[in-house]
Amino acid sequence: MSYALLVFIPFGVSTCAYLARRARTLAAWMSIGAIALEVLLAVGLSDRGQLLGIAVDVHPVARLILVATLTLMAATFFYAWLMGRDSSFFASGLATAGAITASILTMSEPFVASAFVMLSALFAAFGLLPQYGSKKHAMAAARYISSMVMAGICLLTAFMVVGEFLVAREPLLARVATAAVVMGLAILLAAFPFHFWLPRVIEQAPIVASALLIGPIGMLGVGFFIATVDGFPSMLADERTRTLAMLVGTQAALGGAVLAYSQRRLTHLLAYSLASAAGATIVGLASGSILGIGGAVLSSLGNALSATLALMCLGLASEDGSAPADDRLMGLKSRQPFTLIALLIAGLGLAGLPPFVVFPGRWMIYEAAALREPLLALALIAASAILVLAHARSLHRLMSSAESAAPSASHPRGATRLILSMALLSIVVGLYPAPILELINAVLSQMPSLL
Amino acid sequence: MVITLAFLILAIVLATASYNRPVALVGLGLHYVATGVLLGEAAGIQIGLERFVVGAVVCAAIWLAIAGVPVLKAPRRLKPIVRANPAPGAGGTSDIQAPPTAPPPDPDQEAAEQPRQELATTPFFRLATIALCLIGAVGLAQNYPLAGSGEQAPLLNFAWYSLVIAGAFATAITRDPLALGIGLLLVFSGTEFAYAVWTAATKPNLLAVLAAIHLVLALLISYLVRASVGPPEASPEADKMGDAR
Repeated sequence: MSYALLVFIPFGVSTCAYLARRARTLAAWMSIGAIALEVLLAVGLSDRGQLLGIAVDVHPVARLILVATLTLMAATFFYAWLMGRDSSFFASGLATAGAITASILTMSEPFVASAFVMLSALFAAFGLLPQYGSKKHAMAAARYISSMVMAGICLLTAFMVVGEFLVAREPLLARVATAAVVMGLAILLAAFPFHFWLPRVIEQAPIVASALLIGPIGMLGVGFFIATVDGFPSMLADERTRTLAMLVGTQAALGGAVLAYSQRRLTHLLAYSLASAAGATIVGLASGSILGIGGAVLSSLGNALSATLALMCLGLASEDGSAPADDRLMGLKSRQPFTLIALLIAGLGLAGLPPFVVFPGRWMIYEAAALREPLLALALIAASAILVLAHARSLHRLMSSAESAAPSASHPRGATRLILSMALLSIVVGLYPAPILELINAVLSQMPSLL
Repeated sequence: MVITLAFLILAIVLATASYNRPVALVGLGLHYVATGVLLGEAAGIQIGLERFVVGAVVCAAIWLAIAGVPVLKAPRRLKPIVRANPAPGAGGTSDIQAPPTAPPPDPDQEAAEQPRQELATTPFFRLATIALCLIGAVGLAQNYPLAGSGEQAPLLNFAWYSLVIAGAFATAITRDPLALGIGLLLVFSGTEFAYAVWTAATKPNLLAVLAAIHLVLALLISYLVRASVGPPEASPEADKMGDAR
């Protein structure tokens, strides 16, 4: 019963929120309430059961990621309400939450779960289209939708091939399946060079919609990959396949970092930082070890938190709810000093600098990579160093800039408090990650397939 | 089955090569009918029926969106891909240069906001490329038959390969939301076709999820088509009422 409730509550409330979109406060609080109920249900969920004829076997990692995803979504909804953004966002956000939940519950049947991953990404795309006549939003959305359909097709094809592998036991089929899953994951996470949808979405789409696409959908992709590897250990059993997948991740981390360094706009810097961070996450996942996968989980949680925080900061400096042009950010230190501090924490966090939230996970990934091939770890550290330089340069520009001619955007104090709380959380987890690490290790130790 | 396959090829050609939106939509609808018949024979009647229903709903949703949207014109000759200049008086170029009243706009931002012209693809070019796609599908179906078994396997493999390749081609060469959406639907349809033939899966819950993807994609396409033509115009009466208030 609780499985069905977990899936149908968000879809039902999504419909209500859409119908009540003119009463924005009502729609917002219905959505936040539904997500809070989802979190409670997810925490007390039994491990096995049935959902609409599909055997449910809730994967421990997936449950952890579900709770983290829903919490982050609740924070995004709260921010959207505080900032007075388009209320149809709540409906698309809740539908996305429903599809994410369904995907996590059906991970014992990866083909169905892949279809739900695709569906959640498509529901999230509705948030990119807040109004008629907005051609720039339409172009960003078209690019995102095409990318997500391709990612979904990669995942679906992978599990067709896995089905054939289980019959034929042909090693080539396992390699093809791994390649398809890694490619699908790379598109979902926007890892370089599959990041083509991300810069335009961050630049042109509403901030809250971008936060939904990057944080929750990215974390879902990581959880999906781990559940898949646990279900089909043959995917990463081959030494060469693992090394190759780690190489793909390393080139993504380095390529993304180099591109980030060459950017002048803050929105592009953020997009390419995410493309680089996704590469490091792929390295951790492909290592197939408890150390690497634990690092990837922690790193993806940190990436989602940092990216959401950075986007919220950009939203505070904006007037229309989409990412501001750089000239609006000039003089931020005198107009909104707390926003600038939070932006700094988010940017350096994404780069993997201590003592911020991404660092502990990134460190575990470095260790896992060094155990396999020290050069990979060195390349990842170099990528991180390049990102730190890029963010430091951008920060220097913001700090030394004169006051912008553009009028200052008014924003609610609650939003500033929210981003400061998230920034504080980023530092606290970065300084004292032990409780979360223990939880992740306890969850991963239940996976016998890990090295 | 050969006749149904010929019907499917016609549908693919109409859906991907036509500049006329209603004709492309008819092609999309025919593709649902053809794949429904093929899957009904190969994997079970319920899958075929599901395809008919999904196709009808998808086409109806897109039809409602494109009604009233101007029809695309096919280019008569090859043109380079250039960024469209806004009309004089709308901030664009003109013979008489107005004195600057505002700082020059950021070229990247301006380019992102301007619609770009369609890639230079004449109908002949499109037809020739689709023919090449179909020839490629024949080669792939013969050398890498992934789906199905028995005498009909080569035809079924050709069907899904041609859907995926032609759909990917249509997606790659256009910036028109409708053509892009039809391409994506064809690619997804091809993958679904391969899965249905490969596993003969008839689980209703799986069919429902796959059908939901078609419907959500169709809604997104409809939304994109409407968004790309501008806001709905308010009637003069409504304007007067607004002024009076």
